[in-house]
Amino acid sequence: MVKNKQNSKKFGMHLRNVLRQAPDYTKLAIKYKDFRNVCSLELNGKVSVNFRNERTLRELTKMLLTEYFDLNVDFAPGSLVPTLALRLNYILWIEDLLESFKLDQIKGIDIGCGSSCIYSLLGAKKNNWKMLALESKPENIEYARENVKRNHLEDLVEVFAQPDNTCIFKSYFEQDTKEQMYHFCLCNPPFFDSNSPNPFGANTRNPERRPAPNNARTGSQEELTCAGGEVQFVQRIVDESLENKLCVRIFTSMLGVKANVPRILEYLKEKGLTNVSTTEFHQGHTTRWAVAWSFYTETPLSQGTSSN
Amino acid sequence: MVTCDFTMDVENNNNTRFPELEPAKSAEKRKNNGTTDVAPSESKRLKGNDVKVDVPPRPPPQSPKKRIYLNGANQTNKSKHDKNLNFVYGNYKHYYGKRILDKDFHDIRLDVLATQPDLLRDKQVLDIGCNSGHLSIQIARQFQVKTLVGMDIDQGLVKAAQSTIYNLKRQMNSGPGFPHNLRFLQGNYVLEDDVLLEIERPQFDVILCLSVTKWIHLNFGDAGLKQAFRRMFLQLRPGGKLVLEPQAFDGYKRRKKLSEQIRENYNNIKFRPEHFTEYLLGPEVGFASMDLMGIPEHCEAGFKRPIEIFTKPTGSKESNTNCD
Repeated sequence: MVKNKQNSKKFGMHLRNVLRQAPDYTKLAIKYKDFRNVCSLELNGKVSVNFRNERTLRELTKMLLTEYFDLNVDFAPGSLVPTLALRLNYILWIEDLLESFKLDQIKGIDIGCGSSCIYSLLGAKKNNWKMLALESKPENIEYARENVKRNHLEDLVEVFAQPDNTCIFKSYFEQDTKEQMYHFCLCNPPFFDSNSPNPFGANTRNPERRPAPNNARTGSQEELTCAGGEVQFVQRIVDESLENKLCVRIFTSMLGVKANVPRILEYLKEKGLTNVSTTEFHQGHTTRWAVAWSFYTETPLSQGTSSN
Repeated sequence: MVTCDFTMDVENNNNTRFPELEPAKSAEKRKNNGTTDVAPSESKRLKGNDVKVDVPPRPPPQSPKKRIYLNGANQTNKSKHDKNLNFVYGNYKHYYGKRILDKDFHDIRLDVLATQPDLLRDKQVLDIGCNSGHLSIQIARQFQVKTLVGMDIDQGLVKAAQSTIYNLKRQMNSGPGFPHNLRFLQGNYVLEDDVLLEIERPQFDVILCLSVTKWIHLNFGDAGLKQAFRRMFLQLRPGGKLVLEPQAFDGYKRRKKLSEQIRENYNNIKFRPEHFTEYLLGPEVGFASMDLMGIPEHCEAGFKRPIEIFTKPTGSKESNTNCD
């Protein structure tokens, strides 16, 4: 989407996103040595960043987390390097959904937290949320726990090792004796379908109007793909939410492909869910979508699409 | 309308002015004043033209209201302070018109550079402080450089240079080679912080730093100039050359009133031009040798500055570069 002054409110980042204003990379390169080493120096003294390089992206996100949130995060080599702008947009949307409830202690579930555990760390550090981080890949679990520890957030973030990656919350809730209630869950599902012959094939209808994302793609096979792709994954979240209706007040998940949004909405409708909402996240050339649903009638989510 | 810039006269180190610019004592002389307008004859200034070098068009005549802000003869109440602030970087608008004193309108430095034609031929060149680009363009053409990048801190001057190139391109056939191998950009050669030198990379065969050191020195102090020298070294490939034409220190004093910052910098200077060579050849920079290329002969004493060549060691181990 071509962004300009007029439509940046509608198609830009969330209004409270600290990255809405592009960072001064020159000043940041002066401040952070590791970041500096992945930057290029232009003749006019300005620093430029090559987003198409994986190592650069890793150092960039690490630096931004330190600079804006005082978080010190390490990523497992080869694992997904989250882009901070998108993660923040998601967190801010959840803040908006929960705003009207004026809650004291907010608790959330991070489905598939990855090695960075970034959503949980951001939620805990920025908003004092208590987070349950679910993760099935052992290497990621190890890194996630290290990240929580390094940032002294053990009181707020619990990393739970999922025994298998076929279920979402089931194993957790089965062993959870305290019958805890959570206010929200969030999820970055694996976007791509491992069963498809060309999982990463772009299916954009109009490549000229919708240029490729600026970033290099990062992430391991398991993080990026699963059987049936994001549609099946989110359908599983929906199915399990039906079994645990009252454990989570607002269920949410991100979707990477626009065409999958109506598919999920259809599925929710089939399951008799009417208290549903969607939104869009805009950052750079990339747009993502998210769906929210709730079984609590006191938690009305506005029907239809909202943009931040 | 007179567009002569009187601050330029002071650039001539001695006190003699152009006879035509002596303050008008009679009506007759005042008439002569009008004919020494620089702009119309500028197009003849550059020697050895196959092609007429188009100069950017003169700005349109100013409205009376705007005349207050012009540097020139018709000022009444403009304070000296304001007048000088415009050129704190030596970013004179009609620099080349004034500097070229040879009756054939030829920049004397070209003669010095011509003593070593292989210095620039087929090389990738950076010209620091290129002003409106007149000399850069001459050098690029006469010595058949591979590419030349001209940099100046003043956006207006860079635009003038770009405009000249644009006109040249329209007159000549399409590339490659001159004038398509030139580009000009605006920027401060001195970096925001020394640590950025860590990510500087070799990218030029020759760097020209002609009559710029005084301005870097006055505006950014010893630290700024030293950093610039280090940056020049880092931007050169092994065996690359810095062509340096530094101004002597006694020429700094008359500029110290240009701004508060400049005055402060001037008073704090410890790194004198006499020490430049030692510094450039020393461990902080690391050039291997210095050779005197020449001193322009037939010009005003103020412009008789030695032109020196500093050569970077060949195949040296870079200590401060990121050789990705």
